[in-house]
Amino acid sequence: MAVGVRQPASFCGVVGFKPSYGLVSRYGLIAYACSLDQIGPIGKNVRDVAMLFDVIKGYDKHDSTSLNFDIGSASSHLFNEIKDIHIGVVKEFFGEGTDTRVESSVWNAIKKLESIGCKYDFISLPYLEYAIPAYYIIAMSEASSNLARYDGVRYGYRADLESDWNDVFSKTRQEGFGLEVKRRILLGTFALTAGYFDQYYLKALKVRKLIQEDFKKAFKKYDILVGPTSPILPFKLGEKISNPLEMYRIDVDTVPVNLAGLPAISIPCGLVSGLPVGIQLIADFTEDLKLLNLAYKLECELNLKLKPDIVAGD
Amino acid sequence: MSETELVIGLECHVQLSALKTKLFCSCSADYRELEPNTVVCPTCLGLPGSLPVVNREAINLGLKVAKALNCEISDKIIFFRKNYYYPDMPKNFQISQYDRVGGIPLGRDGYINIKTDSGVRTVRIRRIHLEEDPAKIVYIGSISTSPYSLIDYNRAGVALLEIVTEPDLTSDEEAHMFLKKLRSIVEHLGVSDGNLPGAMRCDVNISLRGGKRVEIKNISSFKEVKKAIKYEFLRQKQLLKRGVTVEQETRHWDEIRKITVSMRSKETEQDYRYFPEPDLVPIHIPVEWLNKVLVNLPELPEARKTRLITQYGLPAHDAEVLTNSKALADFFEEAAKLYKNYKNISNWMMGDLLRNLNELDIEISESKITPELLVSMLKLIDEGVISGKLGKIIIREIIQTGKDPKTLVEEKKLIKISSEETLNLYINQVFQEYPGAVKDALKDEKAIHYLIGQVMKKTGGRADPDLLNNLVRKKLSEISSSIL
Ligand SMILES: [Zn+2]
Repeated sequence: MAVGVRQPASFCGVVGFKPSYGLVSRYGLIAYACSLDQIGPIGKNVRDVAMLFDVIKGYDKHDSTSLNFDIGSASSHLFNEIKDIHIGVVKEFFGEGTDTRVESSVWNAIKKLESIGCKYDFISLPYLEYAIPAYYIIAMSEASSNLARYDGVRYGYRADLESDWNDVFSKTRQEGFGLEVKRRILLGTFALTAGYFDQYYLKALKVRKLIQEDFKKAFKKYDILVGPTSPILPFKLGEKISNPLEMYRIDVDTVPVNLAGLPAISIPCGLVSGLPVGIQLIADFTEDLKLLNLAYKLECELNLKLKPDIVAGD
Repeated sequence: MSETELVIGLECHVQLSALKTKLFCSCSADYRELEPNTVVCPTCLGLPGSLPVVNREAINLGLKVAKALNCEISDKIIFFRKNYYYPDMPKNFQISQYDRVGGIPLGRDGYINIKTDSGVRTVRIRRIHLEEDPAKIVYIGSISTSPYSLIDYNRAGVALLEIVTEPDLTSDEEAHMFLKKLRSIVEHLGVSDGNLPGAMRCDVNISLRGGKRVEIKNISSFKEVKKAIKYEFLRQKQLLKRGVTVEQETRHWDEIRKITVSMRSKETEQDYRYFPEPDLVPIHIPVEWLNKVLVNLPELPEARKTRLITQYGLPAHDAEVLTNSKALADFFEEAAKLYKNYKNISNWMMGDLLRNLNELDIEISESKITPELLVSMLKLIDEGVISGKLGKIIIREIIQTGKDPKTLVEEKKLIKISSEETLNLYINQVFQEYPGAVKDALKDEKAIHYLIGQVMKKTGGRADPDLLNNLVRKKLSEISSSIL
């Protein structure tokens, strides 16, 4: 899933980087939501992540959404001096529902950014408020279509049933998919259905456009935008699955970037009660090198030695 | 079929068989007569992780067809996903195009003129768009009785052009004319070969005025369309006669049993949940690209028709019929290189050649006759070696066997009888057998023809008709003077 790089990295106290959409080929990636999916590296530190990124990025003629230009070497760009970096602290990323302990940990990192010569200001991206619904509508719609191929005819699980194709498809999918996947397929199918399409899918596309414009405007003034990667501290295994709305809410800080196709990175910025907190840095489209460069400098400045306590799930 | 009763619209699927590769992958588009499921790759099998890449040449061919069908051509190509479950769909969605919510088909608002008995009719083209062909479902015998079905993915992903008409057609004959013209156009453009089985398929929307619309799917050749319409017309008419309302539904054409059969009725309100294909980016077509593709378009049937009239002096009707099929027009022009009496070639083609093809229910490409063989036969007639009447007999054999007319004539001892002596033997015999007719013939012109006919029959059609005519009349006048 699209939020599957930065948020897990944040929860685990490691670095997770989502490159600009199109810099890493999706050929071979099992599609969940094609227009939002982006492969990105997770690693112990920014340098490892940059090195892996250098290996996996680049144009691929098998992926029509692949970008056909070379942004240069990320790992060798890390050590460049940074100057005149203007940071935008996104107000909406510190909104209602954000754990104050997370906030203060992120603020601590922002102060470090200041100490290495960055200026910062507050900025508001008003349409981020609608990012979660827009993201989930688009993602689930695409997923409902992408997952349609799992019908048991060519590969994968097939129900043990001899009947017409309709029955075999239905039984196969009924038995093969888990609860959350079925929930998403149903919602996505619903959002694309005639009569609801305009209200949901089309509206979500409009919101996506507005969010992209919000970011575009912001990057006219700022080099990098920052905020927490997740509004809350890591939760226990299986804790949120029964309350999907609450679970989707946790993605509030990460999904806007997916909607806009921008590069973003989460790096550890501290521990709260033994649990890691991540700060998210976001750059303009294809400014991946600038992003990694600053993330590396911040990582050096923070100089954290993270050893989170292991908390077992119930 | 009455002109006013039927309303027919067509959805034609034309495979771009001139392409080397499929629409979204580099598998060969030449999949016919190969082991099932051998011309496949992760993309056309819809394997997880695979992605489509547009075959640019398919767009070029589509643009040519749009132009030839007088369409407004879009300056961008956007693909949509058409979502529905069916066993012939590798991904359970088809990458297609759409004309709503920001979509635009490759071409729209075009037309084709067809010649019918009541004059020239304009059939409007609503839209044409590119899409991928599904896999082929192989039934065991008839679709409605097959105990199971097999899927061959070789065809999956082949580039199709869907061409949708407005409901402007009013009879099976008109639908047939339209399809013939369409086929001739795409063949003249060199984008599709209608001889390939399944290269041109059709869904038919048909309603009797005032009644509900029935869609007939799965008609795998243009030839079958006429039969399907005829059957469906009669079926609906029978229902209405009995006071039963015609349901709006989708039916399948059962090619073995030659009937339409009802599919699940839940398919009538199919919601395809179209949305823009996120794995493909819109392709813009700048004017320069368009111009490059559309410059030097091959000669189209309309232009060729005009040329046949001026270059060979053919009547407009002949030129129309010939250019309604590229194969026929090619046949004519090949023959015209070898033989200068063009009208004679055309007469034979329009008459006996087409009649025989119709009777045998085959296309000229499926027959064994060649322009060389036809010309060889015409020359034998001109040289007086065989009569025209004999030509009419042996042409069928040439069509079926491809034998050289000269050999046929020798084998069958068909050489024309032009000897007075021999003919007189036959004439004397007939005059003896039909004394009554001879008596009538002395005063009645009709009876003369009867006698001539009888002699012709005796000679097996080999008598030189002019000589026979003269000799019979001479004999009659001898009799008449001997009576006086
Ligand atoms: Zn393929």
